[in-house]
Amino acid sequence: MKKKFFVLYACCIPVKGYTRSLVCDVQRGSFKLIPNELAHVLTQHHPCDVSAIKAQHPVEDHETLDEYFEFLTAHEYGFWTDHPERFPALDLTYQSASSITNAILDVDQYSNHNYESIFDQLEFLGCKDLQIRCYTEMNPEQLHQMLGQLNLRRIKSVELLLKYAEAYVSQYYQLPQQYGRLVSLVLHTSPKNQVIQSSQEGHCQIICLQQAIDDETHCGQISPLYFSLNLPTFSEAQHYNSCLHRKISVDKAGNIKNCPSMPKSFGHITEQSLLEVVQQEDFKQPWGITKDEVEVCRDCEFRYICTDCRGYTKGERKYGKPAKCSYDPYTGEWA
Amino acid sequence: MIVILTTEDDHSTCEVIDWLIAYNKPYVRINENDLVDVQLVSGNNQGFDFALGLANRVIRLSEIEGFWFRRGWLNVGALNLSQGIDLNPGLVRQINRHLQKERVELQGFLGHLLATKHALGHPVKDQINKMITLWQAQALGIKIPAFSITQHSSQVQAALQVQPLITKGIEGVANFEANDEMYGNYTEEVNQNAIKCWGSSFFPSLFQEKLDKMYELRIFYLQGKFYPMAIFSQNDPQTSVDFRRYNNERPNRVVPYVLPVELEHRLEKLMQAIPLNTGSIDMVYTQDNEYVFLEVNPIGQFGMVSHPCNYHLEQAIAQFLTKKLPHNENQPNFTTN
Repeated sequence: MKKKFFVLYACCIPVKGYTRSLVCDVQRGSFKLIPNELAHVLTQHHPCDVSAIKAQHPVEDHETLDEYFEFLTAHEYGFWTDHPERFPALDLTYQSASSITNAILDVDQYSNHNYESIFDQLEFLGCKDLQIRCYTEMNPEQLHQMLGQLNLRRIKSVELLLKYAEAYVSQYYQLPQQYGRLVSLVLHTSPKNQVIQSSQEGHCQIICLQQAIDDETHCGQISPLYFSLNLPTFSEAQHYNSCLHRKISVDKAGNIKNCPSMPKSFGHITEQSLLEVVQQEDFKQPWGITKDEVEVCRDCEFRYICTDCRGYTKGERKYGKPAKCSYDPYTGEWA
Repeated sequence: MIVILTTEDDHSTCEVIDWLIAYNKPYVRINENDLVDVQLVSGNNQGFDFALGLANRVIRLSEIEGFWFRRGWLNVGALNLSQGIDLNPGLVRQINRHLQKERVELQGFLGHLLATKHALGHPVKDQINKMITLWQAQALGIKIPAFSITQHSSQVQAALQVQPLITKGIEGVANFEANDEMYGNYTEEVNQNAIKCWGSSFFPSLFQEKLDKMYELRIFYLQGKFYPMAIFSQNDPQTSVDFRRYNNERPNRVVPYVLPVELEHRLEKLMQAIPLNTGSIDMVYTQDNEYVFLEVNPIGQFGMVSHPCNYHLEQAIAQFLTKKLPHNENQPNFTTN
């Protein structure tokens, strides 16, 4: 006996774009492109009483409609039920116990950071994820002094960017074994592009990149490679900026910023505490810029799974599209 | 101050603690492998008190406002009979058995004192009997699966004539470890070949009607509120009898769920009857559109419900412990929105 309603699993969420749409599977971390007509049905007529929907469409469309629902059922994006009222949508409220969830720390040959003090402050703010970007060569002794400060902290994941150095490379590869917090180690300016260890092979990925990443201007790339498909980021993107929300950065010179690529400094780390900066309203102002407000992005089907960049924007406008994004949602094509 | 009794590897504890820190609430985390020094436990006609040493601090009963029994036990009286004493080994065994009973009694008493505070979970009363819970559920008009416990294969044969059967532990899950291998018992379907292997009689075992599932329900309960999740374990043969045989490539669909009000009332009565102020309830929704109760786990893996359903249970638990209002009405003091 065929059940009456087609219902999307709550973790499969349609997002309408200008030319086409997505169903984002925030449980399994994948998405399917769907036509806008189907997205319309799935948002405006959900739960889908398919016979009632068919009654509103000309007969020649019925086969297509059936195909749509078969496609979604076959890929386990939805199911049939007589009790749609038992299956509510996901609550997309974002909650975090941390006033800062993520941070960037930049290092070059002139940097003079007090790592212990910076990590203490990040710890106090509840920071979970830390990215340390070294534009210059670091010797293992310097790294041990830095990374040794990270054990037994609430900071639970650390991504480390290092400059390739022939003399030290074998010692660099040992770092993840010594420092369990490391989840990513990328060596820039490497002789060749190479995956030394994938994230499936160990708790930390190790990657060699030929590209020289010698300052913060390399950041802000927008690409499907950086799509993030999970419930915490999807719900965060509904309400907050998908790059800057609850982020704090210390640039290579020690300036406290939203992001090292942004010009505005909120004070120097030797003169201001991170807490004092986090308490300033204008520091938190960009946290609330959602993709629904950003030019072009607001019409893009990828807007809740994509990263953002407020450092480099079209026309340097506050709500400008990220300058390094090559996708055009009005044509549905990557340039 | 809030005391949390837990295990070292429990990630949900860390997430609740993040919220306690956000709410500026002092806490002490006691892992079951942390040695607890019994400095003084005292009682007289004015009341009871204790001072327990933990690493470099002392926890006094009078300072404790809230208590969360997540899991584990208080590691008190770790000393056994001194090895050097020259006694008959049989006697040493008997003395150590006696000391173990003394230890359990003291753990129970300290657990009781902790649970007299504003408490979530109970280190003594959490030892519930699953068969008694089934009896309580049935008495409250909650449907249960037909079952039999027997040590005779003839009885299993007879029951198998009526309906397909599964077998599982009377008490629950066992985990064994030997030669670095882990062994666990899963729920298994009963078939003729298996019965032949068992012989005519065996250890008394539980056989239960195999339910024709449409989906399973895992319902977290926290002081009067239910947080239900539906698990679509039937789309995948690997998980259809026991969803704990997780398919990591293609995990079962799990979604938030709304329970019928009538059923919620009965479950509320059940939780009060056991009694538990928190726990995880397992149920099945059958192809015949019936809700069938399986069991309650006083110590539940609530993270597996909280995260996919976005229920923010870690925050709700922290709010319970700090006696705050439910989440949407009470933001942490440094939240920015």
